[in-house]
Amino acid sequence: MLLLSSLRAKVLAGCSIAIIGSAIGAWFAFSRVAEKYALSAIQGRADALVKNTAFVAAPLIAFDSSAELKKSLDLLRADPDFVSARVLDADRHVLASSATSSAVLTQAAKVYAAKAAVMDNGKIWGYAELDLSLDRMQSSLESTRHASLLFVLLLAPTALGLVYWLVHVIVVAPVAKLRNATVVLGRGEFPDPVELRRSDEIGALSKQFNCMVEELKNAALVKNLIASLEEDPSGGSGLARQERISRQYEPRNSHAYERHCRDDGADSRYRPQHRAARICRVGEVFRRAAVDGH
Amino acid sequence: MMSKMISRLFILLMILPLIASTTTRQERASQGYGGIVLIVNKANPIDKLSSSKIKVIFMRNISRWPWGAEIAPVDLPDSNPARRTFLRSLIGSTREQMEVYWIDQKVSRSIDRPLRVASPKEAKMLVASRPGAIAYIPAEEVDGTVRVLEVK
Repeated sequence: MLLLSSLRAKVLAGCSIAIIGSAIGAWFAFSRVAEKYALSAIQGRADALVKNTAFVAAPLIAFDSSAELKKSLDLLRADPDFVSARVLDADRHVLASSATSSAVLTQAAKVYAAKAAVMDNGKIWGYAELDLSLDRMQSSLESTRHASLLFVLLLAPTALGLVYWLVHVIVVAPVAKLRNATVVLGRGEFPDPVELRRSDEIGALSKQFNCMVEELKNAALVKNLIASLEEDPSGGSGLARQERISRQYEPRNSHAYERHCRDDGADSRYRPQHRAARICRVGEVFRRAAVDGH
Repeated sequence: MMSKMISRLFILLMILPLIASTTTRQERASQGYGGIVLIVNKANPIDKLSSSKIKVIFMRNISRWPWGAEIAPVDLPDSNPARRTFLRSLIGSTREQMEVYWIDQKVSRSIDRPLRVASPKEAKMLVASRPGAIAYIPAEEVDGTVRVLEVK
């Protein structure tokens, strides 16, 4: 848990889980889709071949051309996945057949069997059967799976690196700036404004922080002025002192406020009307002090 | 001289059965069943057909020859005596039964009856012009434009 103490580590851990989970899920989904696509392709090819064979076989069965039937079946050997083919008569007796060598047959653990009725003018003359091996498809799928897994394994660290960089730029670096400024403030000093030209929540936070620092500066200034007035009561009439204070106080604060505390989601206490009321309250304090002093 | 005559007679006796068998085959092919023969286009590679195959062809249970061409059976009109003979001897059916059969085929499978021509002469012309055509005509109508099929 110590490793997850930083914001960067937390975000990175969350993103790692999300990215790796998504990558594995995408890889599984891709494998399934690729398998389905390859199987449908081989099924479509087998169905087309057996239908074509059935079309050719009809007159050959009708005219007892067994030799021609055998030749037409032997033509199917040109298919790289061919295992065996048969033409049967209407009573399911084999009229002609063709097959690869027994070694290949035993190796072909999985085959796709396509069947079609040999029909012509509505009469069923027999049946054509074709077996295509799925071995080549499966080995091709296997290599595709390996390639896609390698791609995912390369992509995931890249995505994590990108996330790390984004988290650093968007979250960690500005938060660190604010934290450093807070540390300076905690020491009793006034930090330089945190300049983040951003319109998001962190940008608003930095603006609010800068406003807060300005307000603290103003409060300290007022406090100092009051203290100096109390130390030097012969500083003129009450109204003259109020004007002097206002001259020293107003331009600086209105400028600072305009600079940092525009109303962009800031707390309503920092809006101009509230600010004017507070200045008036400060003026009232000085007025009373002047009257008392006078 | 005598020995020469004997040897000629011997040769004649040897050749005679061969000539006789050839004549019988040709006659059988030309006369066919009840004086009708089956004719095909000269490009058709098939030499002989069994009566069951002829029935399959004329009942339109098969649409293509083994070599790929479309089978086009040609029929003669009801009035032609060759048709009655053909139906009886090769198809094993009557005209009425065939009418019912073709109505059934048309309704259930949308298969039309064979092309019907007006005379054996037209049938012969059609067969001569279409590679996949097959027809039956009286044996005396056969000429060199078509080829006669042997019926097994």
